[in-house]
Amino acid sequence: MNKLTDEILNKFLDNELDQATHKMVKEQLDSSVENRKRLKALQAVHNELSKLKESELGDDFTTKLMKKIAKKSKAKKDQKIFVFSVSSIFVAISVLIIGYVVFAILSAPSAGQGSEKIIGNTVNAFQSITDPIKNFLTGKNIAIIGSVFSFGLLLSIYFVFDTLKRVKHSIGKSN
Amino acid sequence: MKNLTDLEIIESVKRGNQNDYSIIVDRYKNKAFSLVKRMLKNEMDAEEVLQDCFIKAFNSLDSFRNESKFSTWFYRIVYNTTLTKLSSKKRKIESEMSSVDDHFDLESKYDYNMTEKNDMSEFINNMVDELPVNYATVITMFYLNDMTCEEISKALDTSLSNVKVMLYRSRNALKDIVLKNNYTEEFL
Repeated sequence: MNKLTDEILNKFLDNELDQATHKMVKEQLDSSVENRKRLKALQAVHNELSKLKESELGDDFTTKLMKKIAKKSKAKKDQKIFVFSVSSIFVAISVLIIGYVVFAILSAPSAGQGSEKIIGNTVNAFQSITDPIKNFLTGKNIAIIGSVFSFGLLLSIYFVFDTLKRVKHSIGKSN
Repeated sequence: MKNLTDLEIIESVKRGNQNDYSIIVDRYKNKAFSLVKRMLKNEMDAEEVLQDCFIKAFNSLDSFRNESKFSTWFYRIVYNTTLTKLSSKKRKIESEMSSVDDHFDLESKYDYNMTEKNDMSEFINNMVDELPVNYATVITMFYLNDMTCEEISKALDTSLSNVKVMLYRSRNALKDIVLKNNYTEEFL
């Protein structure tokens, strides 16, 4: 008696054997009680596994999940709007500065001929912007500005962390 | 609306109808929950992980390119997210799909007294829970989630032969217990 391997029996069960092998296995099954018993057991396991039942989730799972998704989508949208606003302001300021510099270059009194004239005008324009800033950032002023800037930075960090904490808390609650 | 295919629903969600995603959730939640629960062996963790899976899938819908079925793509997310949860809980690293060489002794976990009192479906259900995570995953995907071996191999990112080896070994282990205890007649 030839004992069929487990692999062959599994393939027979799943109908994965070619015609010739399928026929050969059938013959061996017909001639061997032992093989038939093994196939019967395997078939029984297969049938029982096919009856495995799904675990069911509560009815509110979908509602809760969709609320969470909506909240996250809104947060994402708000973030995009914030980034867009900040970058718009940044771009507007940059455009204003560039515009001012160009205007200053074009309207400044001539300092020479050709390229020398352009360089001279550019230097003058930059100086007209940087000189007042340089004067402002000297002596006592720098200490005051440093203190105000640090205080502002600390306040911003505090508010950022506080907002993050509140967002996390509200997301946790919605779960 | 509920008769729409997965692809049609996804296209609708991509067009901005966010609420249509709830149809996908309702369609897959119980099958996916069964899979995650089988892997984590903890109902509360399973629900939490499944929520993450649906959110991840929603956020990645744009990257779904119809190259495979949505279910295969989604179960891949489910499987990987659950594996991450498993490793974060420092469970056995048996969950790695490459470990088809794992050997398991199902018979040592078989409680003779318990099965005398319970029906065979429950016996099989309990035995699947005793299988190593990757084997239980394959069995659940094949029998409960109606996936083919090819789809399972894609979802688990492993070879088709690995999937078949795990499927056959699991069945054989159960078959051996059935044979040893002459349960065949009762089963049929």
